[in-house]
Amino acid sequence: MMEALFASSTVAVPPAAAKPRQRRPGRIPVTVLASIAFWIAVWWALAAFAVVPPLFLPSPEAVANRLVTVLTSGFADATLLHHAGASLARVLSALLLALAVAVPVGLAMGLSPVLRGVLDPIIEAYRPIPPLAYLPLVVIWFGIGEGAKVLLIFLAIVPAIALATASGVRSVPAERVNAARTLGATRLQVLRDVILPNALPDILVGARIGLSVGWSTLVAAELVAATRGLGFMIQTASNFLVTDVVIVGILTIAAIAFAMEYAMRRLERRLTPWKGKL
Amino acid sequence: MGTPLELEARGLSVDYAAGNGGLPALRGIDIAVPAGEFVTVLGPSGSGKTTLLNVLAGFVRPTGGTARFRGADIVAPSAERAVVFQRHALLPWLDVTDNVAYPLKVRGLDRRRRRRMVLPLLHRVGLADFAGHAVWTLSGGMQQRVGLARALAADPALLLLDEPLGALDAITREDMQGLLLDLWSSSGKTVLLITHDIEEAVFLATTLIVLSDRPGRIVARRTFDFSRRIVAGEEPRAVRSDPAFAAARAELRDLMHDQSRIVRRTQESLS
Repeated sequence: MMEALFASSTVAVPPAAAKPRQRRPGRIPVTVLASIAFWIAVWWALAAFAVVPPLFLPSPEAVANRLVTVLTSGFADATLLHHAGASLARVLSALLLALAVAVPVGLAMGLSPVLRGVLDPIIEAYRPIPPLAYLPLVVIWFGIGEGAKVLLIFLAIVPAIALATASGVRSVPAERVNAARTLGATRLQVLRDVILPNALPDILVGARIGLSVGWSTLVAAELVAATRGLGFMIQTASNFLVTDVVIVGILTIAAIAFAMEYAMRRLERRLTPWKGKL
Repeated sequence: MGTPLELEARGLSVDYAAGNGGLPALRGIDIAVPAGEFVTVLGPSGSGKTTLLNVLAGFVRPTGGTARFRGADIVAPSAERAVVFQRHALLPWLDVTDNVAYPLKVRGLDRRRRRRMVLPLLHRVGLADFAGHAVWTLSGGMQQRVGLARALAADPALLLLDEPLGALDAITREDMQGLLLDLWSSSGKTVLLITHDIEEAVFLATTLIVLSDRPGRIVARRTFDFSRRIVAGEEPRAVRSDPAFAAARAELRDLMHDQSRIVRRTQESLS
């Protein structure tokens, strides 16, 4: 009898209940959904009760309708997908270029005190300057073509990745490097096999921060001589006081940036599941 | 001259550059280790044990005296003198096999050959069933087995062990001590192990060195045969309960207490 009791009670406890509850990766928590729903409701109420005139805040329905027309017939000679595609291409190519430049720069800064002394003041001096402030210089020096736009976003992303990489390099445990050296690794092998992988989590964090900086620089980059892009679309719409298109543009940037942030987190979990574990 | 010494230090001193003057870490260390010995270095925290190991590994250059391996000055790390650390030394982005095979990879061996060479090592340390596991999912004891197997894969003449069992629980520790003796006797390598655990130092040593509090000087040297008896087939439990073992442990404990009393007196006179 007792045995049966014990047996059933052990069976009754599912193994999962013994573990602390963990959110399955890839699921959006209820709180996030509730928060989004709440703010849409507030927005709807403000518009519906005419607290704010539609010129300043169009209703959610108006924006949704506008979204459909911008998607299908477009705005400023291109559909929403074309605008988004142009912006995405700019931000992504700037990100890839920034990775190619900033990771070696960060490695150099992390490894050599001399190079850190040389590079750190440059990066720290221009990092806090808003891209809008040096946009005129970029235009004067590099013109108004696609390259200048990518360059502006690139410049905004580089410090985030370079500084994150440098800090990742400096956080390598001395034991890890020393052990590799006593196992016969050359300096180059230590760099490739120990230091670089060890800095990968920080490089990914840098890329995530860089992406959000990139999106916030986008509107500035598309100020001059753009014919496509979400930033261009927003500016054109604001010139003609088409507030609902402005909001469509803002929400599109938010949605894309959110999706990319989410993808980056998935990538982090996939590439560096060991982060902070050993 | 008799058999050449595997490891030798003469008047070895190390000062770390810190503030004005420098922080003395080691003073006048003389050691002479023939091949095949199991040396344990016992000392309180801050006695410069790790500094000694760092000099022998080639990470730190002595500020005075000499440190030699097989007659040549130690100037840089080398695969002949592999180090196993207490933690943080494995490569968490590689699985067990690739961690153990790392010394073979840096020598340019191809993947298939590496895997073939690593398998017997994994068997020897009892990790054959975990070959494909991520190292960060293993327990502390298993991680240290990976570290040991990896050091052996480099096939060094000298194994330097920096408190490799320091973070393990008592039972795992005893298992690992048995494994260390097993690997030592079957490989014929010279081993130098740093520890602050008196029982462990006595249990494993053929030669035991006691370091004083900072700056570390050698305050005692002992030779023991407990590890050789275990290698010869005696039960570890029988050895541990041998009165001679208990006596050695007690004597060293008193010695260590005296060391810390000196510290206390110095602190009192300073305050």
